[in-house]
Amino acid sequence: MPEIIYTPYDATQEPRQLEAIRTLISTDLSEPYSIYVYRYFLYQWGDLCYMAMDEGTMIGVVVCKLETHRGGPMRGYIAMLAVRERYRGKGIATNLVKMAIKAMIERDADEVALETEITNTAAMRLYEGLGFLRSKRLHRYYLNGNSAFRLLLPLKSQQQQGQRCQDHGHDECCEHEHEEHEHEHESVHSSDEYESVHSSDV
Amino acid sequence: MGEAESNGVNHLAYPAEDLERFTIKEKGPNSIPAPATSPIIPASQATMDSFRDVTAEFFDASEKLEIGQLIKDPYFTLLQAVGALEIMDPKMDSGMLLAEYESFDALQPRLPEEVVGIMDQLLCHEMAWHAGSALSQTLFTSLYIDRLLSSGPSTLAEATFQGPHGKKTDTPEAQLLENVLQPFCVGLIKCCCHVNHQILTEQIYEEEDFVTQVYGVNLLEEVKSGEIVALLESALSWLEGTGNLYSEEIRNAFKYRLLLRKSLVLVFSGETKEWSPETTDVWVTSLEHVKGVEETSRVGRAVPAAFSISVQRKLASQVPPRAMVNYPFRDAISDLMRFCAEGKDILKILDFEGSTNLVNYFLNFMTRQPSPSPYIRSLLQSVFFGQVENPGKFPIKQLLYDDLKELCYPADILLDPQNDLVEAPQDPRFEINKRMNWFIERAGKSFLEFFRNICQNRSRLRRTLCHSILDWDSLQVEAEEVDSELRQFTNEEATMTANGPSFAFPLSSWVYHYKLRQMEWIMLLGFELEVFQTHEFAGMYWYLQHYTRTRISHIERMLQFANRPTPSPLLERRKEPRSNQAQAKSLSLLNFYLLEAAGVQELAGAMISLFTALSRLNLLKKPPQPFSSDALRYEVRMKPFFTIGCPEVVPFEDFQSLVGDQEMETPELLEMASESATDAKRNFDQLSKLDARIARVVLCEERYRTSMREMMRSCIGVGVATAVLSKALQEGKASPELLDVQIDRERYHPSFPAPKIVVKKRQNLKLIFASNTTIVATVTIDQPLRFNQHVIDGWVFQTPGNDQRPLHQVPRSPVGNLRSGLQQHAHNLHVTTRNGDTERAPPTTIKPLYIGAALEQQLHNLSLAPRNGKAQHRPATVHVGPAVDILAGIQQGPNALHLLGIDGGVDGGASVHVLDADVDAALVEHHPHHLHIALYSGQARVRSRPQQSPGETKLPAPDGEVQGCVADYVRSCALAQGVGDQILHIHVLRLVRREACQEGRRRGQDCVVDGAEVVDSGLVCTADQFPGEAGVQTF
Repeated sequence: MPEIIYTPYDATQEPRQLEAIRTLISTDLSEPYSIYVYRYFLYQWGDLCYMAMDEGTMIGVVVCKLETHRGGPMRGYIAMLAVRERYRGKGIATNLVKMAIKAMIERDADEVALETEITNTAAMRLYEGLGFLRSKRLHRYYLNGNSAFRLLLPLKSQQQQGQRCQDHGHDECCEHEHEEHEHEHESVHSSDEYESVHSSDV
Repeated sequence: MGEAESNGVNHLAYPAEDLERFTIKEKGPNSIPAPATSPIIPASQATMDSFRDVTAEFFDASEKLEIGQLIKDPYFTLLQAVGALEIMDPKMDSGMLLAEYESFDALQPRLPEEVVGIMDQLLCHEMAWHAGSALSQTLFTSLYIDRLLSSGPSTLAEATFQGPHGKKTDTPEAQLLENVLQPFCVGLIKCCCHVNHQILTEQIYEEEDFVTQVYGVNLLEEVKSGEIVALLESALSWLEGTGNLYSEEIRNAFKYRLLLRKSLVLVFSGETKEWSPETTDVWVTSLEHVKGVEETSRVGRAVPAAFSISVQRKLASQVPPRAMVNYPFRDAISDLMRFCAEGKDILKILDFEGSTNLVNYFLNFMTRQPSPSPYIRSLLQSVFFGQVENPGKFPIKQLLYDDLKELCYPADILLDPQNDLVEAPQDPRFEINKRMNWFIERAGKSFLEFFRNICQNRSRLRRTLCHSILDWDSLQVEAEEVDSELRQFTNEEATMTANGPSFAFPLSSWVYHYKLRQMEWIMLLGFELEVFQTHEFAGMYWYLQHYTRTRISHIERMLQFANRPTPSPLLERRKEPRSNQAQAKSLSLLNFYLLEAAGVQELAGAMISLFTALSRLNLLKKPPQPFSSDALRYEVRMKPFFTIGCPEVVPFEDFQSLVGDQEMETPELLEMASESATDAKRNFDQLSKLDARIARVVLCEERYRTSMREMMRSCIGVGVATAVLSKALQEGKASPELLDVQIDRERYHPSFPAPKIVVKKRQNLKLIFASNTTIVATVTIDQPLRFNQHVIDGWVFQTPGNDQRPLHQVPRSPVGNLRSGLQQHAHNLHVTTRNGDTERAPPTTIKPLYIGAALEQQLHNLSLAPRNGKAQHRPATVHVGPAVDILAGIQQGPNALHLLGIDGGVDGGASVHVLDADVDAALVEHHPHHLHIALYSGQARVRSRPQQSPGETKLPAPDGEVQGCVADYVRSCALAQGVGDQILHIHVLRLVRREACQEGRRRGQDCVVDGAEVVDSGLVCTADQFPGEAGVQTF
């Protein structure tokens, strides 16, 4: 198999790349995202999107965002991850996620979060293998009625984050999490995205 | 936005008035009022004249944008983006669905069997809705329901199947629909109406537990339940009058369905405030009718055409078309039976047996498996709060005082009802009363919230507890202050304790006890919900133990104060000694708590030692975790507890050394684990035998005893694991190569899943290649756990050595994680799929405990026995069909077989049968001389596969379906093609990994392929594929 090339998303190549990304991701979705979802992420956080190419064909992609989470920590969020079916099991998804996390670290992220279906052991292995922790369980989070785990990768200690808060005159972030609108990203993380992502290649 | 700019994308800022250029000048009546600067014409004034076609302008303007430029409202959120639909996209736009309901004739004659089938399908949809699915995917897909509701009926007379222009027919078939199905549907709709109201009354999480959305459809809100009961009664009399028109079976089927519906209408329309422990009849009656429905379900015949998702086209919703939920009838019936039993059960709380019993009822009720439905949980809240709120049976003051009195046995004067009567401000009792009223107000609120919280689903409960402990923590601080103030008025004298003189602090003691319990529950739920991973177990059990130990000291302290003889000096008027009975009650409760906490503390201790030993011996795999650090993860894990004043979170370094306990040798650790498990078992044994009054489980005795038995099983499980590990350690065999550790959740208490430590048998596996009945080659595979493999049709795994068995016997499944064994003769195929610890069984009667599926074929006759552990053995004939426990589905044509099992709700491919959730998937496609099989486990999704042409001898493609095996999720794929009856051509795509091959060892005549990548395009695997090994063995 020829070498897989990893490359960051390039906004100037949008007409070609956006369509490929969309096709790749929507293949595994029972409910497709509207074009706005892709634009929402790629326009604001195109620099956190990485693609895996095989001889010019896109075969894997990760789409993320990074912003302050309810006035508190700078939270990265892995919104979509997809690898073309016949390329799965080669660690491509892991490489993409690693690149995204590194990019978030460079951009001063305090933590990275995502949700994954509790039955999606492949995805959990991938993320837990990288250092993510299950922070909570979300009952019937997905449309198919399955529950999710919120996975969290802390990158800075509370103290370091507290420093940031003081610098910016916020103090909410030092407080406890209040009731969340958990369903905000409900359909953003498909239950299917990680299927067949193989742990052996993580 | 900074990121956007650094990406070379300009964020176009545009003033509000520019927006207008892109806005059609019309707004709906519900739109947000337009800003004053915007010259948007109000809807009332808008006429067609005011429209202007801006399409050309729009495209013209968009042409001017550079690649990567975007015009976006700064307040356009992700939620809006996700909620957006693209019109005309068939997957997003429900308007693209064919409006099947338009051509549906609700009065089209139906066979009586079909009417039964429709009623049962409606029941399935109803229960699916109760279980959390939306109406749009369940009941609203019924075209009969649609016909009844689409005209928006506000009276019973308007709710008919009659179309607007339909003419009345009096055929028996039409009468059946009008007299039976129509009343049934009307009753069903009214049930939904009541259920929705109930759910909305109490705290149940919308979209999480239940979907109350009705998409603007009126569920017969205005029609009184009494009218509907009467309607169902007249339906029953109509049925009586039909004489011999229907067979007895059919008539009974109708009767039970109508009776059930009637009694459900009565159940759901009941006023919870009027209920008493005696008003259980409605539930009992309903339950009886459910049984009647189940017994008569056989006569029903499904009518798929009566249901269609096309109804979603006209529902007021902004979601894409969503699939109809397929809820099995068997599940619906068992849900409904449980539902009735639980509905009846919760009325027990109306017998007020004291606060502690009440709390225990709630706690035990919510540990039921499966969890009580959202409706029942909502009802429990209503029944409870109906009694607490005025003029309830147990107002909060009584509830709280009762709880406080039993737990802390405070000085009588604090709870003296006479206090209320004291008006003189200089009287100390006036001051006491003031403070106690504060406590009722403040702690009462937290206490009631506590009851509500327990009624939430378990995941939600854990999250809520993480917040509520903060409230209880501050309540504790406030109560401590009030306790100190109260001392001035009670003249409490210091009592000598181990820590010097001290005071009782009754209010804050009570708060502290509840706070600690909630902290323990957060930990316990972490295990139950699998939030903690196994490599965290030692540390998390350490915290559980830490909190339990803290509570034990607290109980001991409370015991000391409850035990003291306390004639209150202030109460000179009241000479009688304090009630001994109340004191005895407190002492008994505290002693019970002590016993229970000691059991948990010991079992947690056993877990800590055992899991610490396991991780020292590298038997628990901790992932590599290149990002973040254990210290940071510890912060996340302990986040809910950081702000708790007491007990404090231990610094990470201390935590590590406390849990790791490096000073203690591993054998000692195991000895400790063994002792703790024994002690814990003794405690739980004692607890399980306690009188229900002592354990305060008068209302939930059965559930309590079950739970204690689970705890005992966990103690035994931990004891066994410890013993196995100790023995292995003594024999120098405690290494990951020789031992396998799995967490067994099935048999134990959900918060104490015991590890199962299995000695890996040095089961050398044989791959035997067979052509017809001649065995050509044998290959042995060592260390199967490391073995990534494909099972090739015609190859068989067998245990070697003395345990060789004839080929026709189905071999023992090689290892823990290997799930399949496969055997084929030319026209004779046997497949068994299972996990490791199954026993051997001959192919025709495969019946091991954990079999995933078994497949057997003889010539053109196929049988499949799919099951999980609980399923019964299925007959050897073809078994088809969806069911909860079914793991695979099968379809067979004259000369062809298709088998496809899929994980949850997957769409099927061509010529395959789509089945249920939790499938360990298997795909088989078979033609007379042509077979391929792919067995998958884990999350794999099976796709339909390309057809093989008979002459072709290659596996479909080196794609994801076929390759990529993971040790834990061994997938197998096989292709065999029979040429004539004599020879099988086998193509091995990738047998195992090459690197592992080098470790291969030879054993006797067997060729060891301890992992080898074999890419074979030849006919037969011969020795040259296993370099250096004489792997061919002819029998």
